[in-house]
Amino acid sequence: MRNRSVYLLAALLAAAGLALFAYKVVALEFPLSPDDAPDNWEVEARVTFTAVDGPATVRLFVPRSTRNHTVLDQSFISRGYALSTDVTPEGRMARLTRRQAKGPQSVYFRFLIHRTEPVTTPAVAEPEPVQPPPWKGLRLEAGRAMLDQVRVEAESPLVIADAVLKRLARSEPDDVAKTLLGNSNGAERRVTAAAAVLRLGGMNARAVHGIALEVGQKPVRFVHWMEVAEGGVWHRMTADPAAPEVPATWFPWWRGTAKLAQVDGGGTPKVRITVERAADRSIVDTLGAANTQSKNLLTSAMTSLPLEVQQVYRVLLVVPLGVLLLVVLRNVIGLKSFGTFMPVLIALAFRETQLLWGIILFTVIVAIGLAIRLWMERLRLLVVPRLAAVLIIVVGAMAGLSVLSAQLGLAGGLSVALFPMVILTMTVERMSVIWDERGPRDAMQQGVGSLIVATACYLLISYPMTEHLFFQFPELLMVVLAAVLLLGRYSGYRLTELYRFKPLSGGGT
Amino acid sequence: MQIIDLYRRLRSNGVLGLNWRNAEFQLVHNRRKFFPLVDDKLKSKRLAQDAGIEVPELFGVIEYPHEVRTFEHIVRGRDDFVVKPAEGSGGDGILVVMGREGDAFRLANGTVMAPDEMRFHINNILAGTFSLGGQPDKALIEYRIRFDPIFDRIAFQGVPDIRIIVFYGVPVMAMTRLPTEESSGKANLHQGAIGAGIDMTTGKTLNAVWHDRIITQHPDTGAAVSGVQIPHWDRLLHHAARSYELTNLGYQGIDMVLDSERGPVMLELNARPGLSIQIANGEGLGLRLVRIEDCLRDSPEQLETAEQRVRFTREHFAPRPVARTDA
Repeated sequence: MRNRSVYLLAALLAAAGLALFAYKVVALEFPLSPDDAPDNWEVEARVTFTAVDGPATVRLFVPRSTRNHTVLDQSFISRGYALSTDVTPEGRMARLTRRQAKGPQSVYFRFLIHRTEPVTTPAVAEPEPVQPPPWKGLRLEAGRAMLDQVRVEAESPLVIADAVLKRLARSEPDDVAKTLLGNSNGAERRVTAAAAVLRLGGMNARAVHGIALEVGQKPVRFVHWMEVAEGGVWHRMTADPAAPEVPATWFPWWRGTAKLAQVDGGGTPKVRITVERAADRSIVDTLGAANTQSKNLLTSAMTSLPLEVQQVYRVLLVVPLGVLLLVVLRNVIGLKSFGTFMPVLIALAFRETQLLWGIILFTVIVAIGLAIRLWMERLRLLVVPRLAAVLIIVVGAMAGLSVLSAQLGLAGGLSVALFPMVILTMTVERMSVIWDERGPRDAMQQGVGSLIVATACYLLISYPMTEHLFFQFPELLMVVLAAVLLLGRYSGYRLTELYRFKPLSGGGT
Repeated sequence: MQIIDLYRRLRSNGVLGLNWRNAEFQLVHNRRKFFPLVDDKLKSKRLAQDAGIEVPELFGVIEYPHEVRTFEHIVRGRDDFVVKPAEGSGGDGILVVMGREGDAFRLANGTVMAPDEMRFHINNILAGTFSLGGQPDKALIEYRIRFDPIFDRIAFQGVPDIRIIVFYGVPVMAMTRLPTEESSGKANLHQGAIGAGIDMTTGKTLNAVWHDRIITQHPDTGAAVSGVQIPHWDRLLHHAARSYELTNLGYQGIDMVLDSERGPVMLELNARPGLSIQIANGEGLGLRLVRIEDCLRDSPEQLETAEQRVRFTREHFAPRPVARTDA
């Protein structure tokens, strides 16, 4: 009857999910653990700008394969734009043009990087004429002054480059350095200025811009370093003289002084980069071939989405697992918590704030809200205005905490803004009602219970393996659904009930 | 291993857990469309009246804020009455007015409430402060129960009530909830009220439970709480048996009180009655419920009328002789 159809449905779901999972693991060799994933990276650049009414052109540097990286699968998603390629001294550029463009425009550029075994020997630098920087007046004088001062000490371009970078990197740069750097002393300015100074002295040097192939960058920032030719090979050094070694994860995208993207016929472009590790093994198998095989919707549904959307789903797809844990803790263990899904939402907030800070901030805000809310009870406010007042107090407490922790220099405290304020408000309201009706003990019990459930959910969903599995194998959702359906017909005791009803266990067998 | 053993013994004693109650009884035998009949006390009051079950007389209903000024009119000439939300839960928002002091109202707990405070309270009820989920609600003004003196010695300053669990019209298990000083007159067990099980065949109280401990004397008055005969037991059972026809809910609880003049009066029905009644009775609900299910399957004609169902209760639901061990 009823139970049988639930069992049947659960069995079908679990079987379908596990079958697809097994097929992908065994036949398509999807990696089971994030560490097994091949060293492939998906990079996406989104260029947005506002076009004035007329023709628009976007020029964008396109990366080339290096000896340590193979770039493949480059593609543009740009409705209405025609694509052509230019070769400039600074690198290859894609040119996207459109006859008529007006209003907000966006262009997507995607490519894959496969990282090969690192080659340690430096790249050969072809002897070529050195282009001096187009400096005039004060800048030219400053450049020459800097060059003269460091040349006294050494002749080797490498040593000179190091000395120039050191002077530019001082915390309080002298007037010469200030003139060269302009109003910023970031890494990009330093390597660009240092390369220009070296070229002024007839040495071959260039600024390199790229991205770091690392997970968890939010947002992805560009990295900058410098290449200096000496002895027929290119030597690399970062803008930081204290740590000149360029990390192995840095990938060169373009060189020179230009920006990554330039626009004619529109406003200054905004560039947003997303970097994701790609786990699809088929990419490696088809490195030689032009297109990738067996990339159908069934097996790579998630990876076919734009990277930005993928990152959202990396989070969303683990939520069902947290909900499953919540069902177990409530219906099998018997823990009490506020709201049905509140602990899972708090767990999601913990992902951003980190666990310890999350617990501290949650406790502080709820305590502040609760104290004021209990006092407000005397004002005898009607329900909706009272909830609104609690919400305002919660938002105020969040802002106050952020300001306070900024003053104290506690970066963790700033993340309080990531808490869902409506959930906090409802928690305060429910807790105060229970406090009034059943006493502080019940209220604290449920508050701590919620926090325990949220922590358990957080530990489960933030485990890297969990995220990897559910993102690469979304069919596992069917297995989770099957488990939830089965729990929906679980009629056994909750663990806490065993103790509650213990006095009734006498007699019988 | 100990836990598995405990689990098995509770199961074989038929002790109902929340999951068991929800999955096998509440969700199966209670159709959702009938829930409003018990959640709205005005509706269940009218149904009960039609079926000849005594309920507290309704003096008036206030549904919209602009009607709040009719309150004075409703209570004109009445010294005592009760104000309660129609969809309240757990006794929240109920005001018991015992008398007047000038314009003001004297409440059961001894405090005095000014007329504007009373109007504010009614406005709060209408706004949904006390209703499940906070939807707008109605305020009922009704007759105040004069409690049967039988309870004077075993209830402290409050509203002792009798709850009977009813399964397809068959009274299954009963308890009386006695307020204590600690529960400040409220009849909620987790607030410190005493729960005493009732022998279904005789209407005498069994052992009583206070804070999950078994007691024989009232902690405030010292009077014996077990072995007390509940008056009008037969009528209480008949009211319970008829409550099924009111709501069509297979599994429900009926809460009644004893008025010194009118006898058993129904206060409310409950579609999700709690499980503490098992602790008060020292016995699980499960075995009794299964017995009724068997009878409904094998010979439903035996449970057609309220009389038949009361007889069934009296015949089959004597307290279990080996009620408990202090394991």
